[in-house]
Amino acid sequence: MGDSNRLTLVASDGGKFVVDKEVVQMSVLLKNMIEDLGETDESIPIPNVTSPVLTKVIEFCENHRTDAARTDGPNVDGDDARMRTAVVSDWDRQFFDVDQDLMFEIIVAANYLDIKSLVDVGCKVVADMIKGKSPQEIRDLFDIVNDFSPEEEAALRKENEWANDR
Amino acid sequence: MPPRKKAKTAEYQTTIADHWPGVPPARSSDKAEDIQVTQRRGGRRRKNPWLKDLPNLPIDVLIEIFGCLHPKDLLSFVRSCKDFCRFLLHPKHDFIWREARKQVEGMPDCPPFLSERAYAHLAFSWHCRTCARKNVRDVLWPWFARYCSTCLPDVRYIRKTIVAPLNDIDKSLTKDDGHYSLFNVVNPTEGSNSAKCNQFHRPQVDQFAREWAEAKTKNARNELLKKQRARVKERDHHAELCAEWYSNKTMDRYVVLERVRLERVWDTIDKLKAEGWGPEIEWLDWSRAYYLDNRPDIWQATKLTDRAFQKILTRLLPELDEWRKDRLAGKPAPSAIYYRHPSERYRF
Repeated sequence: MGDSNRLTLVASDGGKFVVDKEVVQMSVLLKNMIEDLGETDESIPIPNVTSPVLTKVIEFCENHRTDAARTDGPNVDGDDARMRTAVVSDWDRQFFDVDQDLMFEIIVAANYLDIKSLVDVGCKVVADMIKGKSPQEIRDLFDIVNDFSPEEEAALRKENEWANDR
Repeated sequence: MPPRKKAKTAEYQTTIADHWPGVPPARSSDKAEDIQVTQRRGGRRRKNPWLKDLPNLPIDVLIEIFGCLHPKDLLSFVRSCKDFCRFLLHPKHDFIWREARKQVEGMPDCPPFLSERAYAHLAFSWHCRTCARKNVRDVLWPWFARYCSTCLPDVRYIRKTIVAPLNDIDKSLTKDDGHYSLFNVVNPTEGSNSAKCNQFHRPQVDQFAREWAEAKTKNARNELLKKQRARVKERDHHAELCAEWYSNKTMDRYVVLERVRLERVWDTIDKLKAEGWGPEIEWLDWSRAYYLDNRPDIWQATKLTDRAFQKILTRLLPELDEWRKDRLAGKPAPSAIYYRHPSERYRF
């Protein structure tokens, strides 16, 4: 018989993680699920998240569990203000100092599980990596081909393309 | 070797399309298989192409990332490829530009007559509105436009030339200089015929002429005059706010660059002294500003590296040798025409 304050999460590859309820509830998706299920010993499957990603997500939630309590409650400023004021701490930067594939998988998983603080921090870290890049540098990073003709590029620099009404 | 991951650009396109019902349909060349071509396949591999996964992120995550960027970064995205261009220029996504604008310190709110993306383009893209020439630094805020010196004469009237076209519309418009309140004027200066003063925006005048022609009755024309004056007042109000912000921004940038240049000068002097050229630098005294600090390879807004210093030293050596000979021979330092030392240009 398990501890009522702990839950078992099952990753898509079958990996099992026993986690505090308080930590799990940082995910709005899981919080709602727990409320719907009520008291249960059943493990919760997370079909879209693999074990390595879930390990990282749990690590983040455990580290930020006190933040969740602080920011719990109505957010008068709304999502925009939350996003702008999201602070990326040294710990967060260290946390995202991982293989790039894993980094994106963490952000996608956070978005799926609806863990706002993790999505915010992840987006900020990615944005910091993109900041200050020229169009060519962005093409290099994205590995994409410039599909504009010279005329189209020139047209974009003029104002007509932008001046369309709101 | 594990199979290579497939690019998911087509998937991204589908996701994007779901969120832009109003986006024009894909061109004939944008068929599913062509969309995949947007990303490089084989051939030249980039050193760090990890961001290729970025377009595959869920749309809301992508929007959050864009929301953390500066408007200049969004402009770079727009110019990077058609996918991002269509996405970011869609009127539905103006809120992304608004979020980006909020990150720019002191930037006034977007005027109601401009879209957020047009406002960002005006403020951060230094291109002529007509010919797209680069490095057009000045914004004519009363017109909310940038024009290069070549295009400007074609899009303006000045004090002398505005009267005739307005008289063609209606002679009453120019009575008691009433036309000054009907249009946004750049550098309104009483009585000046200079091309830099009293500039009227030709497109604005043309637009007014069209509206005037449409208003047939006296009442309708009076109403139009009232409406036009209110529009001009509103534009002038926003223009004033934007001009102040832009001028502060330009000055802040100038101060930062001057500071970096000065640091480079002092770093160069320190290194020259360490190389044993201290007495020559002291001997130059005030002429130093002319002969040393002002050199294009020293007076630059980039931090001095060892490599850059070695280049400067190589170029400077003949002059340093010359100065050493003169100093040892007891000659006075070379006189310089009056030159304001860079450190005097701006007091920190």
